[in-house]
Amino acid sequence: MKNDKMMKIITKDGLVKEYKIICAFSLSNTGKNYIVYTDNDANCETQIYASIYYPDDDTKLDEITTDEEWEVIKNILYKLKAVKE
Amino acid sequence: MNQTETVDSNNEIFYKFIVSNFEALGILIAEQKIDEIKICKIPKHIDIKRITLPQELKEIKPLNERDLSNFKESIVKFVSKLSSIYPKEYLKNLYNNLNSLKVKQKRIVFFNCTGGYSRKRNSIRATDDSIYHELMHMASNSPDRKHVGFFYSPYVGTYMGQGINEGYTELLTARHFNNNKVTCYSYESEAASIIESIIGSRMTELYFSSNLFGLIEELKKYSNEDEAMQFITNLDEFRTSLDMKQWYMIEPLSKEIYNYLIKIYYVFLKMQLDESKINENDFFELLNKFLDDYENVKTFSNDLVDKFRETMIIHR
Repeated sequence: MKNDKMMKIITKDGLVKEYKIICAFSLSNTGKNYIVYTDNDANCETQIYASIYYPDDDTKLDEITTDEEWEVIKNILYKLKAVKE
Repeated sequence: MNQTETVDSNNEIFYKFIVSNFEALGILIAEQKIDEIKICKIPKHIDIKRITLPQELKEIKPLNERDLSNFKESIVKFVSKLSSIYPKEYLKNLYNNLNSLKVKQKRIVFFNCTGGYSRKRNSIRATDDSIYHELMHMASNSPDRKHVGFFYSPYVGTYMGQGINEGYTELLTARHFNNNKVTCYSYESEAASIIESIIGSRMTELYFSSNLFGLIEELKKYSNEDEAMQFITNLDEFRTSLDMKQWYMIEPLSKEIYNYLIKIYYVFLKMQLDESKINENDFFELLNKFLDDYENVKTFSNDLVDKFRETMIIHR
């Protein structure tokens, strides 16, 4: 059984976009929550996104700004890729 | 991959979900949509009005922020160990339940009850000694909350498989976290150990996928369905009789339980012999070892053991 976890974003002009969540985690030293997701759209080029999300605020996703955070996310994805392969 | 991971000395990652859901990335790789991972920040041209996230991402605080009493280390050790031993397919229930697990320290122990796991609330009350046993229950609790390991309860007050479930839970706990030392449910653990020696690693797979009926199917290879069901029920009744101090029930139940176990072990060996997987010498040696090794086999099924030994002498 497929059990995809999805994130739905409704834009201010009423568009609905759905993203498949790859993983979600928090980091102890920043205390922030991170989400890695993909649009996985068959007609478009596939993109992987990573953002900071807020469990108690459903109106914003923030950009990840530090190199350390990017490094952690990349490592997770490479590890997942290695496991899958 | 573990649920918690140390990045460096000061930084830990607390995965909220990843293993049960990494198919998303796997599919992209399999379809060769990505060969090199490039990550973007936020989708372009998106002016967000509202985001809908899966409930578990909204509700769940990371492991270090939850009230997990003094057990955080034990939980991390438990997840790491199981992840390193078993394939991820076995651990779906573990990762699903971990997100909403509640754990409290049990400080007062009544009547030797050192811990408990509520399958419906997904919560544990445990002492330092019982935490791993209770975590095993959590790791084998199915999403419908009716199956936990080999325990099955379709309605309130109706259940089956408690004995074999507790026995196998304790056997796995002892194996992975207590140097093979069984500290409770020793009778049921021995029974579970005998069954595992027959059906092998399939038993672990069935346990973590909460599949009592799969276990009964396996037992049906060596006995008929009624006998298999009766064995499971007898093992349940054994514990109930002990708890209710109905001592007169213990011996007859034990005899039935062990007669069944000896019988299926014999059938198992006979099948191995017939399929030429073992020779006649191996057959007698393995049967002899089995009759010697298990404490309760000797205690409760002396007549049958004697009968087998006589048969063996005649055959040799």
